[in-house]
Amino acid sequence: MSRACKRALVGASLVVASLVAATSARGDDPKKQSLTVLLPTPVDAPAADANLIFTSDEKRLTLSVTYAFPSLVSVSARISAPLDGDSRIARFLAPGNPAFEGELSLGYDSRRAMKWRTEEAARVSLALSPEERTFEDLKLCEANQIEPCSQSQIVRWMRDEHCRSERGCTNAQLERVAPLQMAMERRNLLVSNIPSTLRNVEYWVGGDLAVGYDKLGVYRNDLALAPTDVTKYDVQLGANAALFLFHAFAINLRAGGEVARAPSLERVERCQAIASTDPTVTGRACDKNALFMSGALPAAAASAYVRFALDYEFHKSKLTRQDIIPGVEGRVGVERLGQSPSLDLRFTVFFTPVIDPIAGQFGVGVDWSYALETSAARPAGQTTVVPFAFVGARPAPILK
Amino acid sequence: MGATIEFCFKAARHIDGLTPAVRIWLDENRDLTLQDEEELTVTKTTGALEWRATKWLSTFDTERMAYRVTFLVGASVSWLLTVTSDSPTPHPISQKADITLYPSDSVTGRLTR
Repeated sequence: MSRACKRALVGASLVVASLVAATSARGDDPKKQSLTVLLPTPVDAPAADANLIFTSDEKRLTLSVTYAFPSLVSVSARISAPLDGDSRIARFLAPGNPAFEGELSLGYDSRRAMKWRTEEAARVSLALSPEERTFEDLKLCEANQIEPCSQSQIVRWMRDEHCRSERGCTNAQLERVAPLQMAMERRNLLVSNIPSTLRNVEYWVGGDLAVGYDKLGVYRNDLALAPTDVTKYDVQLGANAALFLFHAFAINLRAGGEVARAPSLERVERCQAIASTDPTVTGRACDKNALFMSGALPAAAASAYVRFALDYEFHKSKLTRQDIIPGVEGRVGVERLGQSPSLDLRFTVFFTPVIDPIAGQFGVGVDWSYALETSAARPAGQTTVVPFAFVGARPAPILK
Repeated sequence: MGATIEFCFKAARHIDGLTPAVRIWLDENRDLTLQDEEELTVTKTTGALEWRATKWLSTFDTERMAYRVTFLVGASVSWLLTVTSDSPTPHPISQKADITLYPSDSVTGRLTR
């Protein structure tokens, strides 16, 4: 593929706000593709966001789409892929060398449910009864000088003034008013028939299914031999619950199990001498990012994870069409429980500039991981720190 | 082609919780029977607690034309309703001040000339 063509592809990616760059990369654990716990569950549906994530060892493109069904359940799908540094094309697009992470979340969104119930109640309750269609109340008002001519005013007039006369109200008079009162009460019932849990608590509860897959060319046991394909994968299944407080503060808890095959690879510089007929002329062709693996391929192993996150977006009392929303997020998680557990922390600072109907996403953060037990990949007590930055776009939040 | 009339609602304050919904029916046929096609949907004025709806009538005579307005708002919120006609010059043809309706109540009235 020509360089011009590659650049054109990069440009197209930028246009759809789904960008990236990179070095040789590999699939990683799926949790790292969702940047904050607030962003993946927008109330307004369908919604989508795209992010480019830059870390010290890879650049990753993440695309998310969320669809909320009309009433209760919302589905969020997310896929990310590392990008190839030379071609600047997402590696999963390259035949024979796929690498991707996908995540599907299915859950009940109380914010969406509340919005739907309110809109549905409003729609149904504004329908008119036969008496309202024939202006029975207006006729009554004009006959008895009731002003303003509202149904509640008529009921009040009937109860407090008309029926308190010596003779009281006749059944015929009461029957004339009853349908009007019933129409009003029917509407009230529909409006109030929204569960109090929906009114008081905003939450998202559901499950996640995540898959990570990468196939890498690896020199196994001997750098002189041709590289062979080594597959790395993980499958996670877990529960996911988020509680939203004050419309801007989110608490997220995830727990689940994982089956993964994670071969321990080492990045080495592999050089090969270039043939030369003159001994005074030598040369070497080197690959600085060659992957080497010694020993046998590990078997798939099962483990568990628990992740907790706190997320805060600073919202002013009234969001305008051009605004900036800053936010912070902290995560703590225990990964690979039952195998070689590690303590993982993430801290992210981000801000969301809003130019309705688009919102940007810019942020920086750091992943910190501490090995609690020795594994094939790292000894106990080893710490890794990976700073990252991201840029992306999503639909603007609902303006309240 | 006839007169253009405009309904304007102004709420006294913001209503928490529910999104206010306002709907208008206009008895243009003057038969005191409302049809669905006589319904007007109002639009909220950006940045204000105000809703407006415009109707192009087939006649210039608005005398005793009935209308109904349904509200779906919180209790104890007062409204100001002004109906204006542009014919022959802009002038009010119905005005109701300080209407306080119960949630989901509706109010009716008649236009003047």
